[in-house]
Amino acid sequence: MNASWTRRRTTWPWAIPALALLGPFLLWPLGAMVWRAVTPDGSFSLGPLGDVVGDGYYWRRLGFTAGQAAASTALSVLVGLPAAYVFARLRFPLRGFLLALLTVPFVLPTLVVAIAFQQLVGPGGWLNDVLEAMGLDPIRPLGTLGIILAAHVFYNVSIVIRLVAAVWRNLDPRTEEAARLLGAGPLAAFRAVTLPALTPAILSAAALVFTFTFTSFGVVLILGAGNPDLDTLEVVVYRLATRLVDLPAAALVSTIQIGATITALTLYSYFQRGATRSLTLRGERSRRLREAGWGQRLLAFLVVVALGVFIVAPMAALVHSAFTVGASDVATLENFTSLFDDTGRQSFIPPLDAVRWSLTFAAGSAALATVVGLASARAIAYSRGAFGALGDGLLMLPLTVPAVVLGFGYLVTFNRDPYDLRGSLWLVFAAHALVAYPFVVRSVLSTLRAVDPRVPEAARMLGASSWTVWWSVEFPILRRPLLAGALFAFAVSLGEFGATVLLQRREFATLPIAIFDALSKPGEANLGHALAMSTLLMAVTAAAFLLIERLRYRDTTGF
Amino acid sequence: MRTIRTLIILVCFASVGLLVLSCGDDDGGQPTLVVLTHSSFDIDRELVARFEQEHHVTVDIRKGGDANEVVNRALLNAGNPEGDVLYGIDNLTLPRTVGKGLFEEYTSTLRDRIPSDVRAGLGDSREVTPIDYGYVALNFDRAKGTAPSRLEDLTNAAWRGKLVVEDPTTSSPGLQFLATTVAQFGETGSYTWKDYWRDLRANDVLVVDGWDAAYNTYFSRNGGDRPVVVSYTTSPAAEVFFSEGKLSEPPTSNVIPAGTKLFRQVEAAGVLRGTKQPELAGQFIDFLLSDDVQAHIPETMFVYPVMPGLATPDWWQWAKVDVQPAALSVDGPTIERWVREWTDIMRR
Amino acid sequence: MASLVVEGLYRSFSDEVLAVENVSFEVPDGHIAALIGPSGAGKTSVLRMIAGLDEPNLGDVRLDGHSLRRVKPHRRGIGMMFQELALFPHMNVEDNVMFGLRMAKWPKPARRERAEEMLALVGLTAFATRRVDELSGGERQRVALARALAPQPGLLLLDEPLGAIDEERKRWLRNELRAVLRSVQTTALIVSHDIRDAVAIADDVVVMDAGRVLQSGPLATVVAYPITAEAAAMFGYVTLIAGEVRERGVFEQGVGSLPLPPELRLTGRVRVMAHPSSLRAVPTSAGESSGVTGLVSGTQPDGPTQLLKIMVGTRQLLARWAWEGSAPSTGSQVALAVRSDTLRFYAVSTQPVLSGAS
Repeated sequence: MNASWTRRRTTWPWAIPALALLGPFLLWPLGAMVWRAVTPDGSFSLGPLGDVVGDGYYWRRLGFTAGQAAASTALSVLVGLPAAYVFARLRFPLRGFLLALLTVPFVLPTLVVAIAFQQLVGPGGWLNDVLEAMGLDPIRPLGTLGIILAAHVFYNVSIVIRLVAAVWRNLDPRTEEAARLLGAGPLAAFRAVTLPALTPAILSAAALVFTFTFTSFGVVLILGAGNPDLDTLEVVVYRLATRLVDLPAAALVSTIQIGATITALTLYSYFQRGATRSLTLRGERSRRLREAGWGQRLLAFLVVVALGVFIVAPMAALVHSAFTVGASDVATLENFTSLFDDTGRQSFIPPLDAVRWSLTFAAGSAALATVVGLASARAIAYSRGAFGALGDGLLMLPLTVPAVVLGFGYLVTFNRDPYDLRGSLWLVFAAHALVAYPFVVRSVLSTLRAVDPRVPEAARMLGASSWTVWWSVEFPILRRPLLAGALFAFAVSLGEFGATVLLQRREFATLPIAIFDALSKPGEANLGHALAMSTLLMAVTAAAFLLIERLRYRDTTGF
Repeated sequence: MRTIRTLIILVCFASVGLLVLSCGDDDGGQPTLVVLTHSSFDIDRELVARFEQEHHVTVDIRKGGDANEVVNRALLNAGNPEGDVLYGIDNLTLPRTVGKGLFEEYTSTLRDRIPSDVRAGLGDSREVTPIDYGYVALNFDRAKGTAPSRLEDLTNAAWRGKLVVEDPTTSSPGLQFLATTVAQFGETGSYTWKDYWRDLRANDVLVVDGWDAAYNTYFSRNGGDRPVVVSYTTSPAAEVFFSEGKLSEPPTSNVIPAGTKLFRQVEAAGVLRGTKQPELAGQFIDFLLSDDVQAHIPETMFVYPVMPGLATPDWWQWAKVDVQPAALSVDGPTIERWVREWTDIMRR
Repeated sequence: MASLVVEGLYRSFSDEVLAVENVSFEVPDGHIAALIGPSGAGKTSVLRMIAGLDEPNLGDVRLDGHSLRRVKPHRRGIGMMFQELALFPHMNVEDNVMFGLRMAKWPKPARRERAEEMLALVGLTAFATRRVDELSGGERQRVALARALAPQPGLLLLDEPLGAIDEERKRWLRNELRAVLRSVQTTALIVSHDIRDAVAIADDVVVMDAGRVLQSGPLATVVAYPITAEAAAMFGYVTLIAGEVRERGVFEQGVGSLPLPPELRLTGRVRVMAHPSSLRAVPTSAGESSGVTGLVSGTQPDGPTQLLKIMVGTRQLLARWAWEGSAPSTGSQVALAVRSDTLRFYAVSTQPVLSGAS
């Protein structure tokens, strides 16, 4: 009955694929950049480091970045908790569909989200149309903190809802009822009983939201509308790198940022273990809406309507614009049909080619990410103690590295023979696989941890070879989370922008690059193209995501 | 069954990948010459077509945003370039490329015809060939009353919230205007260019990313609310040209007070090191210096051609300005320092 | 301590199906009542409505004469031990027990004292600081009991308190539970699907089936005089005859007949039931035969006597063969002897009219 005996197994070989990817394509470029930063004239010097550390500006940006991330996190939790309650405890028509819909923004490319918000709240957007109809003054939220927080909540509220609802759903409502009967009011019972049980899930969701908003880039770049007071560290890195070409400072600021995100992610991983441990696969404890009290019905109604509008409006505004920009007043398909017509245009990325390359990179890097992710998940799941936590953090490292920094790191590292890989497809594959595989790990890990390690061992005892065990026992159990992870990786790769924009060549530009390219050119025709392509990209990622939804074990945690 | 379905999905993934990878380029043999340039580059399509025919080549002109971005990208890919020719490097960006092995030397047979003061603007570098030049100046919307008479006026309360400028970290005219203010106010003394920018910021100057946004969105002439904009000395003439006969004189004016020193931007083209067809690249540079292309430069790009003595269209008279090119010695670190200091003042 | 009155509770789960229909019963102050019935009878629903966790569509619950209709669960002064125990997993044993006291704003020393007292009562003194997930099933059961009792509820509800315990330990736990409930002298309502729990612990019993109360009253009365055939079956009564009334007797083809007491005016189909404890198998020739016969389908020695499995019509029942000599062989016919005052008569398909004579 000694659990540690049954669990002991060699784990490190499973880390090899991840290390093979992380070593050359993450640690080396990052290390090289940091090394360049501290050896400005070929010899070691802490001068540049001192310049950055001694500059109050970076501390203020760090403070702002952390502050807006904390505010976004708090808002997401505040909005997400009631919704998590509704989705966990009440059954109503279209519940599954709505939950999936709420999660769509999470997989949307930042570029698309930013454009969607622009179409919604920008000059002439729906929001101002509504205000005008109500006789109110138009608002100009672009370039304010408010719109950035709103976009962050739009992006991340589903993380809170999913992680918390997954635990809440399996939580026995009788503990709360027991507290009620012991004299606790509804609020006291929630605080005393339900909240402590949800805390690991809430904290792990908060850590994740914090990480994502701390490294926010596309949203701030586009919706911040150039307001320097809204620059996050990642935007600062981007400015340093692309505009001032101050790579040492960029490297140092990235290092600060990576440190902060690693801390947040380690916390996430720690809390996530707690959340997984508390997961005993109990039946669902929800009640149908008609059995619920009026308060609950009202809450459900408010949550569904408010979140529905909040989530759908930007996406709808994007689609609407895609059909109307450039058209006189009625909707036309022109922006879409003209995607296929690339004659007589200079400097134009043919959309069909972009789609082709996007799919190529997505398929290839999803495959690579799946292999690496599965192996890493096993390495993490089967290791205990310090290595487990450390390994978990290390293997999650790609989530913390700014994509822009990754792209720069590649360009300044793989720049001489025999490893001059600039302009090579493989850098794009590597970068995409690198940012995508943590999602595979996350998807597989919770199931892997929930599986009793004695199950495969029992199969071994029954005479199955290790290959047979894998094929006939482990793979069927992991099949769905693995496919979900692969699709997640697919979606992440489809939307990847920060690294790709630096690594791409026109010959293999992806859809987000084509969108950005069209967007940065003047004229309605180009805007129309950008909107039409954004709509396509949104449709493809949303479809991939809805597939993920069908494949996911409903009752496991993880995002 | 489920395993089989999974396998089918995986196979689909793989086949999509393979299918897409196998679709190679089906360009039939004819070489392609790739020209990297910024978004405001424009050239007569017919002239390009003639060049293509003459040299049995397809010319692919790739606009990569702003000139600064184009140069930064090219620098990151130095030695393994994305194209064959780079057009759009200027005397503010060239210093950054020194010693980075970005270009191959190329001396055009037409080079001697370029006036020496223009060539001197680029340090007479053999790596690049000047194609055109221009000046950046304040443009005023004449419908809004009297123009400011001096740069200093813009720091007065009367001109509060009236000026829109481009960010020198992202925009070439922005950087040129910065250089102009350095030339005007100097780096030392009781009132330096930095003091000027601090006052501008305090007077609610609007900084935008690029010329297009500044001129076409925020300038009052085009629907914005800022009557003064940093633009080109040729912009008033361009307004006449684009009016297609409706205007006989420009609705905007250059604000060039006597004694103002304007920074002269000289734009050039170069052959990128690592190109597989350096000869063709050189021929394209010669093509840019040819009389046909040079004569078209005013109406395609609204800058001054480097070749003297060409016939110009009528409306170009509004672009003629009498200015002293500013005498500024600029090297890479100096420009970087300006931009950094400007960023400290304006962006923090 | 308090008296409980449940009055006309209705609750529906959907528009068509009534989960609980017109449920009424009383539990006098200080009594332990058992609410029994097969699973799905609506017992837990009734318990949850008493606790205030679910709202009845109609009806009322009164505690010491006060209506609880508008009283929130946490103000009702009712303790409940859940079938699943619902211990707070993030608290230790002592904190679980003290929770209700904390909510009632007891001062800390008093809480601790009361918790010690409660843990002593259930025999868990040494477990005060243990985590609840380190405990065995029986220990957790006792923590749940101590927790429910600690705030001195006027009424204690116990939902299948012995549900998850194995048969052997159940017998012992029943006695222990009874002892604890007696010692705190609280009014209690125990839900169980097992009649033995009721018999071992309760003073009163409420029998439910299909959402309705079949019968309620003091345990001895209800067990001796089940009001319906269903209630009788629940207490272990077996059917001797299910047949027609003919000439002051009840007759079933192939089984036999039993005389109908003259004071019962039953017609049509009637079921005659008896508790196995009053049945004996006798030779058909013996004068003790009641008039019901069956075929032996098996025998089972039980001390000096034998238990016979007897097919009566299509029904099988067990009866003791206390006759001298060897037991009848399988397939042979035997008669059943029964004390006539223990027979219970039920009209079939119409409303139950009366139980047996007394």
